Amino acid sequence: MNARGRDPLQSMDPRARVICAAGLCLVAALAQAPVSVVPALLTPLVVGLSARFPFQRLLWTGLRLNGLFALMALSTLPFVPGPTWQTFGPISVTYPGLSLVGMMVLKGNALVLSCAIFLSTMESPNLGHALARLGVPAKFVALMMSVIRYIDVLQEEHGRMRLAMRARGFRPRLNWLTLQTHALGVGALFLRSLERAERVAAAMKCRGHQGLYLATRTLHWRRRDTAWIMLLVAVTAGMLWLEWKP
Amino acid sequence: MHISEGILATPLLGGAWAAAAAGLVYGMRRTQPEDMPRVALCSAAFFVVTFVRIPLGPAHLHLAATGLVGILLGWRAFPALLVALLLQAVLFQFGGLAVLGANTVVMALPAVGAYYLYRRWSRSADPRRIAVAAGAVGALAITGNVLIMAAFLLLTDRAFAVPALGVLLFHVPLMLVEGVVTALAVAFLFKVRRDLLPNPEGPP
Repeated sequence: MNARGRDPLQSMDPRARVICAAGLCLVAALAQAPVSVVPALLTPLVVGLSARFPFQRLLWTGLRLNGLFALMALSTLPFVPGPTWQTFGPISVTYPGLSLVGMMVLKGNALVLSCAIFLSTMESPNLGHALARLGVPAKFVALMMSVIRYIDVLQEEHGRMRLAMRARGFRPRLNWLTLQTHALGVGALFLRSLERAERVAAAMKCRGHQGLYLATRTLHWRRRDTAWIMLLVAVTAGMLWLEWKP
Repeated sequence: MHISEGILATPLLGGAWAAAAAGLVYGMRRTQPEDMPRVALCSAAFFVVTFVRIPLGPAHLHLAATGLVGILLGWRAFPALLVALLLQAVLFQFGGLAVLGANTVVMALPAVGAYYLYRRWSRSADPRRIAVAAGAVGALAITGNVLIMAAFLLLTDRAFAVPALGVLLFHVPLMLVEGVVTALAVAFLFKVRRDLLPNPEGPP
């Protein structure tokens, strides 16, 4: 089941991936000085490069995220009080303003990269198995696994509905017809979902289902997974040192 | 509709995670084994519906359907929306892990409110009154989402006043659109399978 080649990411135990992603996110979120975010930003970048992660897949995400940050910076910088760094006409940019925007950009990119590199490269059912074995309540994992399964089913269902709409010449515009069509589409999608839920619940009851799933995949923790955790510990230590060094 | 990573202050991220976890535990307690498919399918339907785009000038509006999910699930909207948002973060990098708690509170708290408002306003057998109640609830749910989002921005830093105001104004069309969509969708459900909607006389 688990594809384990030479690729450092693919050969990583899903549990180690979840721990690394969550740990790096925690480090990045807790950092209070721009410099201490840097380890949390560099780690996923280096790991991604060494694993030949297809970074072009993140192009749109990166543009969207940093475009938003640019907008936020433009609308925020003139309003942060404090000692002035530079004046542009009537607008003066302050040091606290620069630090606010800098932190936002560094943290945002670090957090999104950590999640993308360690988690988006993994099959989502593996995420469920990893969470279950890391002690997340089985009921929650069962819910997550069902959602992963049904997203596919409903996307197919929604695709069929959209195809049927297009076959009848529907083009979305900002008008009452579009709104009405989408509303009925949403209603129909939820109706089908709820009716499917009834059928599934009945079928599961017939089979004596208790609401939990048995884990069907075996995960193998290897020495290199422990090495990954050591890397995470090192990054955390680096962050703490940068944060509190004299 | 979500808050991006990196924007909110650390204490706020922690507090929102605590609130989301509390809502999640309470919602899961209220989920019996036979309810699981309903919660899971509503979560998946929410996930799919958020990709529906309505053109608005040069940009698009994305439906959110928080009101509808709230009406159908009540407190169980917390687990449903948290899972959907987690998967959006992992699969598409919308939002993220650190801000997941905040995004869950933004989406799920108004959804729970929508459930109680809908129960209060839907004591009628007239489909038109049901539609009006659902429309108001749907619009209010989005308003709640946006207000919590703006509050989170302002609590992080007063300097975020302009982005917070921008978020509010940008979502005004969505409030109207969501109102209409929720009204028509609930009216449709009421017409074909009213037993699937919450019973205002039954236990919450």
